[in-house]
Amino acid sequence: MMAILQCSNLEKTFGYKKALSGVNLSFEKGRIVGLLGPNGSGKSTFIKLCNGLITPTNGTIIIDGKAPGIETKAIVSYLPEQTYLNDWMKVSDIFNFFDDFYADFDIARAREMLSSLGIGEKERLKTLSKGTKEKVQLILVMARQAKLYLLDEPIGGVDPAARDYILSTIIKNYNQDATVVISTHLISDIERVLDDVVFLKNGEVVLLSTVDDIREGKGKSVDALFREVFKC
Amino acid sequence: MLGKLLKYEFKATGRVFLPMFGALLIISVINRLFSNLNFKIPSIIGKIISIILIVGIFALTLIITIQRFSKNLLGSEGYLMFTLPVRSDSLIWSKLITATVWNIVSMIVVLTAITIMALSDISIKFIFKSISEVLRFLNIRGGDIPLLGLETVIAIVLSLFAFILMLYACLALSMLVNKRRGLCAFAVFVIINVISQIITSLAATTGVLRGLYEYVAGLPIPRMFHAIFVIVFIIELIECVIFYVLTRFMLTRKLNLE
Amino acid sequence: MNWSFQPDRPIYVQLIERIKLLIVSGAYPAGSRLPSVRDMASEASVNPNTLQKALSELEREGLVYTQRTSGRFVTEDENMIKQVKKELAIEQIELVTKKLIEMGFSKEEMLALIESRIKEMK
Repeated sequence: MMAILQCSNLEKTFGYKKALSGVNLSFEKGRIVGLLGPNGSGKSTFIKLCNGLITPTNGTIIIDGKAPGIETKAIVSYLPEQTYLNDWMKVSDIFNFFDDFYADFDIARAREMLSSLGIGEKERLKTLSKGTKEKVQLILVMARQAKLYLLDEPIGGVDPAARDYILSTIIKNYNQDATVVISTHLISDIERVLDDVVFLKNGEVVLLSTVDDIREGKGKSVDALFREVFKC
Repeated sequence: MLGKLLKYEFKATGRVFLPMFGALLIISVINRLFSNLNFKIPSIIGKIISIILIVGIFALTLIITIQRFSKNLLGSEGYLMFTLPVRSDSLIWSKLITATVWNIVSMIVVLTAITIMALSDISIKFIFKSISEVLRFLNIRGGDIPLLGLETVIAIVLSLFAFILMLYACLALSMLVNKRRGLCAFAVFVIINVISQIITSLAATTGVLRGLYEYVAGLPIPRMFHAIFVIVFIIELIECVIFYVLTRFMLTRKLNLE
Repeated sequence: MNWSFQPDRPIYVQLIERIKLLIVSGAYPAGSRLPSVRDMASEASVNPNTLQKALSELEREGLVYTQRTSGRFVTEDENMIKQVKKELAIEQIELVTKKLIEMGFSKEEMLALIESRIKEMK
């Protein structure tokens, strides 16, 4: 079974700072993976390397058999931490934009999700509240039938109801041919949705395991283990 | 993909330019009416408004050229644009083409507005007479005009490309710093201009190009103009290439979004 | 809607318990069709693979079965369900009695206490 994402000896340095070093990971299809670590541990850097926003200093990263580029961007759906929506479009415009550029965008599904949230298609992005913009962005990302979903801190700074909605959307959208990578430092909310977890500390992988192995093997939740490993 | 990018680029910018153009053209027609009907005071007010609009259009063109690059590519929208399945080259070209088109269109619109307001039978005849006198003085025949006209258009387009790409390079290079990027871009702009001044002065004073100058000056008139145009093309092309390469390098290998 | 889980045991194990509870209590009656894995996972807010693991285990035990085209169903075997119900009840009783013994109650005291509590109920 080919891994959708494979990186070997991945390294990224910014000036003097080593953001990532010696990262060897392999993510299989149909898994929901948690990329866990405190702020500054390299999670965002890793995700940006995956979606081609930055290039490695050393090592390789292979997505669906190719290095990050146009072809991988077509199968990777990325939800950044901040909103990337412009302010002149209406919701329907950004839907058409995604439909235009991404062959795997399911516009019908997007509209369905939008109406279930009570957001109108004719609303201008400029007038939406921050929370609503984030939901629109989530819809754009999840309405794509991508092979790899990269969600960078999807539930940080979001109210509990929205958090539930986001997790429920991730679960409902699950399909066996796709992989979801969720980077977060809020573990207790998300643990039950994950198959596998990766602990990142100071740019290095310090743990790679399934959630079940941690609970069975160590008799504690991932959240509890995390607190131990990253004790200040 | 470039086509799609162009479509959205024009959509995003058209909504700002077209109303301004429309307003200017309408005001010009109104002004023309005022002057034909001899309404003195409204005519003056109308002229002031049209001057403001004309200046506004030029300012807007520059601002939007810069903003479409800095905001859409280097700001938070960049997270969307650079994860689209398109090449960075396409992103640069879509902005460059759109900005050039709007620059040319605004020049045409402003000229049209001025023509509507100021042109009369007498002035048309005068302009034609002056132009044909100049051409005759310069020994340019009717047959030379199409080629010279084409060369002028190419020169305008190339110099717009070079200028806009220079702006893009300044903005792209400002990604080297994390804060005060506007200041950094301006600093780069100043540095680039200083360097090009130095290069120009050196070329002029050290006689490096003396041979070329004498050859060109010795040509008969239409050919001399053609030669000058070719030299201008080469210079602009070199600038275009340098700034394009700089911009592209920054966007592909040194991308540093906020 | 929010199924809560204990942090120190695997989730699929707790899912097995929870689904058994729903079956024996009649929330998922005998012979009834279970929601799809995706719907159930979404409602429980758990990973679909984890839920799948739990359901596979329940299938192995015979409590649920899959019909290829129509989905997953609770067994029609009422006796098996009664048996599971009994097993779950015994588990709970074991927990309670163990706790009471820890507190120092004798067998007679435990029995009397439980009987009086049940009489006071309803």
